[in-house]
Formats: sequence, structure tokens, C-alpha cells
Amino acid sequence: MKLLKPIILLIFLTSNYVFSQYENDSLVVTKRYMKLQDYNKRFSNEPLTKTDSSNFMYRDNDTLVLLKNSNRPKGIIVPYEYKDSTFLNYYEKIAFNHPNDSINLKTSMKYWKDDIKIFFSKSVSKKTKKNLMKFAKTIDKAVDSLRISEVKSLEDSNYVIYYKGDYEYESKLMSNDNSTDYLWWRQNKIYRYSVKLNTEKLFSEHLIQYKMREYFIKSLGYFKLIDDFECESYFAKCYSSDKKLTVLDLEILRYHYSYGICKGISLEAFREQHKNAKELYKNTGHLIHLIHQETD
Amino acid sequence: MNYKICFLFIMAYNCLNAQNSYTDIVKPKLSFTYNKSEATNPSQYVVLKKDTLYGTYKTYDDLSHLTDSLFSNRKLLNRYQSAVFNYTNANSKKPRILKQWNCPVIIYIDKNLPRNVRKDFKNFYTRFNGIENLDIQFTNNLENANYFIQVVNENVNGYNSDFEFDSEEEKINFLFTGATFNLQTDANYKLYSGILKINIEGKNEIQLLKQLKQLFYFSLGQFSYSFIDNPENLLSNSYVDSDSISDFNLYLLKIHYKIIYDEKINGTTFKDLIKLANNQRK
Repeated sequence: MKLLKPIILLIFLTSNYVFSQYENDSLVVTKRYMKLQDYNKRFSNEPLTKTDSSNFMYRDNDTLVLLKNSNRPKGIIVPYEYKDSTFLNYYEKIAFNHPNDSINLKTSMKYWKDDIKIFFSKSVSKKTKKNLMKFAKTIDKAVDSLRISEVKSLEDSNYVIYYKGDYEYESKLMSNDNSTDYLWWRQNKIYRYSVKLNTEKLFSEHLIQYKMREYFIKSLGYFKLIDDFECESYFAKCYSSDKKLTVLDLEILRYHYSYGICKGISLEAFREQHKNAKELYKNTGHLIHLIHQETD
Repeated sequence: MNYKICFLFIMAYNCLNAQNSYTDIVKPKLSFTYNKSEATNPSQYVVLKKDTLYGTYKTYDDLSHLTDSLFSNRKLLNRYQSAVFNYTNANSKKPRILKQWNCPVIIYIDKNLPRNVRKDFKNFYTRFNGIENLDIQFTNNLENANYFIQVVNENVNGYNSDFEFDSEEEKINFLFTGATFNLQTDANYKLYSGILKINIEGKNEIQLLKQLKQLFYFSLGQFSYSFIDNPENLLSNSYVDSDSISDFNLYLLKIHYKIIYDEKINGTTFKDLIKLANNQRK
């Protein structure tokens, strides 16, 4: 998965900030402006010229600098994905996994930067692998920027599923007898995950799948299961013998990996961005855009 | 004058904190539907690319089943509450939470258990059918089971090694000697699988059957063990094996499974629900 790093430096497109001139039905000429303070941060080695100053625009107590083509950041421009308050309420509960029950605005969301490559230990049966991969592929297909596949070699993997009694693939789980998992991340980017299942207690394929899928869903973003939804949802923390990926479950996953939001940010920043986007849309009818650049 | 102000304050406080419906006590679960007319809470909506989802809550407006005659038998209700909550409430240091199966209990019995024991155990628990919301079934295929009665060779006990007995005889006859069970619960304390391990060495069929009957009964709600002499009570240390189930053991399950609660229920929330149900009846 190629990761596109979002630049949040505010890029206002179209609207009153942009002069559009129609030459014909298919061609639109746009001008892009950036807040002066953001411009100075991003292009600190390119001092403003007289021409730049003459092209300043003033809007809502902000000075806006007209961007030249040369200093326009390269990347894909995506409109900020605005969501309604009901969705955001549940998304925040799931994606911002606070260390304890109280809400902490500094808590950040986590996400996979690279493709997920799953390695199963030898004792995981073909049937179990097939069932889990079928589930994983449903998510892979529904979520644009999340790729999930099985690999045969441990070296190629970043995700290991094994049973109690197998070789201990994750030293952090060594002392645990019960089913348990461990997630590694750096700067809110998940880069490794291991789950160990105790099949003495999970004695049927149904029980193994139930537990495996529960861990799998949580591992896709260090998600927290919540007690708001009916038990059939995979994000509900209650048991159902008939778990389904509900429309809302898939929407939450799709949104988490959408290019239309900034990833790895704190709850405070997430709320702030949404508030700004909402206000801008309300006042001008236009959306904030994000520019995503490819990074390693 | 001061008394009047105080009285008015208490009345106002009680009014503000009145619990008028099931959902004031137990948080209902939310699902979403495309059909707005089916939604109980259309103001809870989620806009998707092409569609809109509307919120629907599962609610129990009718609490009449909590006013069943079983619940008005104060003595029985107290015994039930002590078996489930062990005299704890929401303010206790370690409040006990009500545990229920919210799916059928499908039992697989290890073939290494004597045939007669298996047969008698099945006969005993097949009679439990008819309790609302509790479905006990048997299967010959472990793959279809969620409760496994397993014969083991290792020494398994349902107590720690420092547990003290007055005599060796007491130890041998103790319910949790040579057998134990482990239940899997979700975050709402709903049970969805269990495993009962039993070492059959040195035990005759009568002893095995009695031990299995009692341990499985405990598994139906992780009830408290009773040291009160009562030969009819499966939860008692003095239980004497019988082909029939006592009224108390039957009523306890009827009360326990009257509703499958959506949320965690502690001693306080249980009392609140009973109180509300009685108020609604008036």
C-alpha cells in the first residue's frame, strides 16, 4: 500500500478564494491560495516577492498568498470527507482508543501504513485460514486503501497468527496462557501485530473464528469495541453467533482509511479539523481539500 | 421552614432522578436500517454515499415479566440475589455481575465418560427445557458444541493449592476436587462457551453424575456456592443426588433467564429493574 501523506496546510479551492474563468464547458482555471502563516512554514526558503504581496487576498482576518504552480505541493488533492455527528460520535469511540475509560483529547488514532501480510503458524488449519482470509478479503475489497493478503513466509509478514503451544513468535506474549495479542506502532503507524489463541478453550471452528475475527477487527486500527451497537456488529463488544460486517462497520473502516481525513492525528486535532471544515462549508459552501504526497 | 425546603429539595431530586423506563436503567443497543419508517430514532442518521441509515433501538417497554409471581416471593428473590450477586451491589469493591448464556448451550460430552453417566446427565438436563430464554441441547459433534465436558488425566481442582480442608474425606468429597469449569464471557458478561474438565479416576458413576450435574448447574450463571445445608440445592455443598430438580433450582433459572439483559447487570441495577416493573404495574 502506498501511503499518501496528507498536507493539512490549508488549501482553499474554488469559492471566493479562487477566480474561475470558463473558457469552454470543460476547462476551469483555478487559483490556489494558502494562509500566510502556513506559507511561511512550508516555503521558508522562498521569501515572498513584491508580486506575491500584490496578489495577497484578505479573508476572515487571514492573509492569503496566491500559490504559483512551482510551489504548489505535488500530490493528490482530495476533498475533506465531512461526516454527520451521529457517525462521528461512534467513529471517535472506536478509533480513539483511550488507555482508560475517560476521554483524552491527546489520544491518537492508529492505522496501518503498509499492506497487511498475514502469516499463519503451521497448526492453524486450512479451513481456519480460508475462513479468516475470506473475511479479510471482504474488508480488503470494501476499503480502498487497505490491502490484506496471506504470505507463506514469516519474513515477508507483518502480522502473525499462532496458537498456544506453537513457537512463540512474539516475545511480549510469551508469558500469557490465554488468548491475547500485541500491536506495534511508531508515530501512530502500525507496523507489526501478533495474536496468540488458546485453542484449548476455543475448541471448535466457530469459537476460533469468533475470537480470531474479533482480534482481526481490533487490529485494523487499534480499535476499541463499543457497547452501543447490536451484538451482530463486529464493533459491538458483545457476543453473537451471527456476527456480520454491517453497512456501518464497513463505513467506519472505509472512513478510517479514507484519503479524505488526516490519519494518525489526535482526537483534539480531528475535532478541530471537522469543526473548521463544517464552518467553511456552512459559510461558503466549499470544502477544505487535502493534498496527499507519497512517502516511504 | 427549613424542613419544608429540605422536603421540597428531596422531592425535586427524586423527580429528576426518576427511572421511568427500562432504557433509563439499561442502555439499549442500536442498529441501523435503510428504512426510515422502521427506525425508532430517525434523528440518529448516518449519511452514506448513496443512502442514509437511520437508528433503531431495541427496547423492552413491557416489563411485566419482571412482575411474575416468582419475583414477588421475597424469600425466593433474596436467595436468587445472593446466588447471583453474592450480597454485592454497584458500590461494592468487587460488584458481582449477572452472567447469562445469550445463545443455546450446546453440550458435547467426552466419550470417555461412562455411558450411564452420560445418559443420566442428558436425561436430567433435558427436563430443563421449557425455561424461557434458556435452551440446553446435546450434540455428538464437538464442532457443533459450545460447552465441552472433557475427561482429563491431569489433576484438576477448582481451588488454589493453599485451600484448606478439615479432613481428607472432606477434600475427596468436595465438589471442586478433581473437576473444574471455565466459562468464556463477552464484555457484557454474556456467556458463549464453556469447558468442564473432570478427572474420573477413583470416582464411581454415582459420584461422577452428582459432580457433573452440580458443576454444569453452576455454569448456567456462575452462581455462588452455598455452604448452607440443603440436600435439594444443586448449589449446596450438602447436595444429595436426585433424579428430579428442586423447585428452588428451577425457579432460580426461571428468574435468571426471564430477560436476556443487553447490558451488565449488578445487584443495584437488578433491584432498580424490579422496582420499576412493580411501579409500572401499579
